[in-house]
Amino acid sequence: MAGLKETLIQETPVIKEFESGLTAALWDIPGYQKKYALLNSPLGSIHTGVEANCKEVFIPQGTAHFLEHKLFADKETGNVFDYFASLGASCNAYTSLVSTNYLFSTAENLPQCLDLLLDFVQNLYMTPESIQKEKKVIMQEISMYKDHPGWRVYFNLLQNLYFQHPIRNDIAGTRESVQIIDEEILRFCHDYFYHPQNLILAVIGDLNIAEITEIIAQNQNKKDFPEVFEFKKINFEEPREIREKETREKFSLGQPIMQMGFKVNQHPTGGQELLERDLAFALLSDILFGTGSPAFYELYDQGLIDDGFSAGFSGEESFGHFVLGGGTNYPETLVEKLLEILTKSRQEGIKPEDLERSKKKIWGGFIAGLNSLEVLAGQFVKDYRRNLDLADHFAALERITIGQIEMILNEQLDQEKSSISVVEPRE
Amino acid sequence: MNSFNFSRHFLPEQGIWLFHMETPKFKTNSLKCILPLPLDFEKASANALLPFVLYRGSEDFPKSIDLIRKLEDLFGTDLSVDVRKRGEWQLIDFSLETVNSDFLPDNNDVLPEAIKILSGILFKPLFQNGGFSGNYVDGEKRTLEEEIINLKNNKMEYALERCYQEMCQGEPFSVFRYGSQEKIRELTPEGLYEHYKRVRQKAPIIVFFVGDLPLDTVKKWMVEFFPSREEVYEIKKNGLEIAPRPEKIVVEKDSISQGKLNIGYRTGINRRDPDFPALLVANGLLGSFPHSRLFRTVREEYGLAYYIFSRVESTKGLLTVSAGIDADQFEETVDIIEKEWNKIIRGKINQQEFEFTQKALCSQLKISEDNAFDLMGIELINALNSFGELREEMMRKIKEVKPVDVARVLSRVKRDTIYFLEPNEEEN
Repeated sequence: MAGLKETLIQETPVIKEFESGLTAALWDIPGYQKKYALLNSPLGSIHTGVEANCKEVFIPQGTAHFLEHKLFADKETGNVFDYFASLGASCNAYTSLVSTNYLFSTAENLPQCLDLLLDFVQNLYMTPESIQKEKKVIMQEISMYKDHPGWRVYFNLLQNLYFQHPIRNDIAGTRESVQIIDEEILRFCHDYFYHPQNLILAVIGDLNIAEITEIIAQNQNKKDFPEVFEFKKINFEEPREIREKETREKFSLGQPIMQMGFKVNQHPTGGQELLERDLAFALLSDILFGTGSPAFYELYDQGLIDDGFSAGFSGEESFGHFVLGGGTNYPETLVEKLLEILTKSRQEGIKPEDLERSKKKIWGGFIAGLNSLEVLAGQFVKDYRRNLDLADHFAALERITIGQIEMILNEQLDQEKSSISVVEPRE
Repeated sequence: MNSFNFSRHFLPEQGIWLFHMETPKFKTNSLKCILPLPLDFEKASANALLPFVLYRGSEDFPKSIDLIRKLEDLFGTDLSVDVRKRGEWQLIDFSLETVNSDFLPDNNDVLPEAIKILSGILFKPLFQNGGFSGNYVDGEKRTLEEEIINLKNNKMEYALERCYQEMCQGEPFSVFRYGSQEKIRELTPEGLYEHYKRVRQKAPIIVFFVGDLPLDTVKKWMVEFFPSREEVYEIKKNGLEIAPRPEKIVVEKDSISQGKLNIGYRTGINRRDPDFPALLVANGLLGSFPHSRLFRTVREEYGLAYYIFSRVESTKGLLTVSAGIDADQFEETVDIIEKEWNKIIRGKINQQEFEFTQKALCSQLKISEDNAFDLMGIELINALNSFGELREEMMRKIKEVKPVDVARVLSRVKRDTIYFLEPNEEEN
């Protein structure tokens, strides 16, 4: 596969740093109708405490998500959705474990849309009434997720795996934690996590880079920002052990859903290392449990899994877990079989031809993803925070060896550190 | 300059409608193969099972794992299969996506090989003892039954499906896209094979191609890899007539935390109706955007819902409003929806929201150019509706719609069924 990556690396964004501290990646992709922008703040659901000016500040669960809602809802100047609509654009936002993201897509009026995006995200306006009303909407959102068994089974699993780490919390928080979120904490989080020094903006599409640079510069120059205060994220002591071996929850649903999770305790620190860990786990999942693995159709034909079965890893510098499972009528038998497959693979090792095929598959899938501006922008922001670029993905994929994958298989998937979560029908 | 319109061709020998679009824009070539089958209670389960059984093994690749591994070796060629419902058509859908040869070693094009594999799946299935493989049929029957049972896991989709079933009772549209558990159980390897022979002979095939290859090349592959067939039936558009009848309210209970409300309306309007562009604007004004009436009132003003939206099923002529609300807010929500609806009919539409809606709809159509499968999806609905407007034409017509057209079109639309999936009280 060597030599192929050059074709792809031609596509790279221009990176600009503005006086306010804002970093922007401007990516010209001719021929696209859509222009897409993503503004990323490093406040995610797992950030529940910081030490600022030598003082510990407690951030209630669901604050990042609440702030996302609040920045959208009724500004003193009017409704954000309406402004975007008047420009022929549509906007949205989402909160993840490690960040909050504001985005719009449009076919026209890009300069005005960019101004608007920067203005509404950088300006927090709220009244006690608007905070109360937003709490009602968020309660409905929490209820909606409560009715989603796929979501429940996963969060129950995370609660089993972790004692302290805030990854065990729902992104929207709980009914109780949302109630204690107030103006003061929202203001505090906005001052720091939304300071231009901490924001990354990606703009992508058929762009005039000089014009866009000017627009952003003008927008930032007209604003005053608070001074950045010293702070550090509070580290928490997360034991290596798991909290609970198994949980079951009754639910109104069709077939039971089972997820088995392994807590991974060794965490790399640099961006390259995190990327390699992600890719090595992706290859391992595919080789052992993908549709091209011997295991998949064996389990399928035995009626233990269906085509919704999946295996995958999620991890950052402070956590990591490997989760596998799906809908099944025989959760216990499936668990046994999955553990058998892992044991057998440890004995037999990974075959070079399997690794090669799986690399081709992941590589093809990655290229297909790059057709989408949303994927390109999202990937850029994630990579930038990890100090990486697109080319690193192809290089890392080529570099990964059987040894790395076998090391994960042998050392990081410890049955003692695994847990099971099942949701099952009430009857 | 590429217009991003499909050129439309009929290959009579093969009974194939070929929709072709040549563009260097994407890093992949995409091809979709659709078999539209009339939706029918008796045959729906057999239709639904068929593609999944075919995908398990062909003459060339009798074992599933070999077929999958072959595709993976073709640089992660993605071949996916599903069954959908558009109006009263049940669609067997095979989608293929291959990495463009520019990104492959020696610029090898893997697409012809992938199309050959797809053709083998469709026309050279694994045949054993007078039917399909018993193992594969059993396995796929089980999966399909589970799919039907698991519809309950997605409460939003489940409630919408139940609303359609109640609303269209006795009409083919009430049939679920995977048929029913009872009918699936009756299927045998031999019976399914007999069914397959009829589909293979008679079903038209709609092929969409978007990618960096000229028409002649794609056509050549179709002629080379797809067999000739006779007696292929026509793709006729759905009838929309329905006898007048009283409104229906259905409330069912489930152990959930949030109630799921769905209101179904009959529009009597499909894509060929001169009022169709006005219906799109009406739906946009009412509930398909964050600036729409329902979002602004039910969510932003009253804080009753996190999600509320409306959508149009343009092949069958339906409109639905969906919302997630607390049980005790059922009446209030239905009231607000009705009030906003009537305001629009009485012409209480402000210039601003009207323009926002027109802009948003045109923007959606424009932006669809950036995604090969979105382009195919729009053209597919056209193909099922006696070839509807090209996208530019639709944008022009949307811009011409006046508030009075929207008021007229909504007064044509009749509320038919209110369906509410209500939380059990003791659960909360």
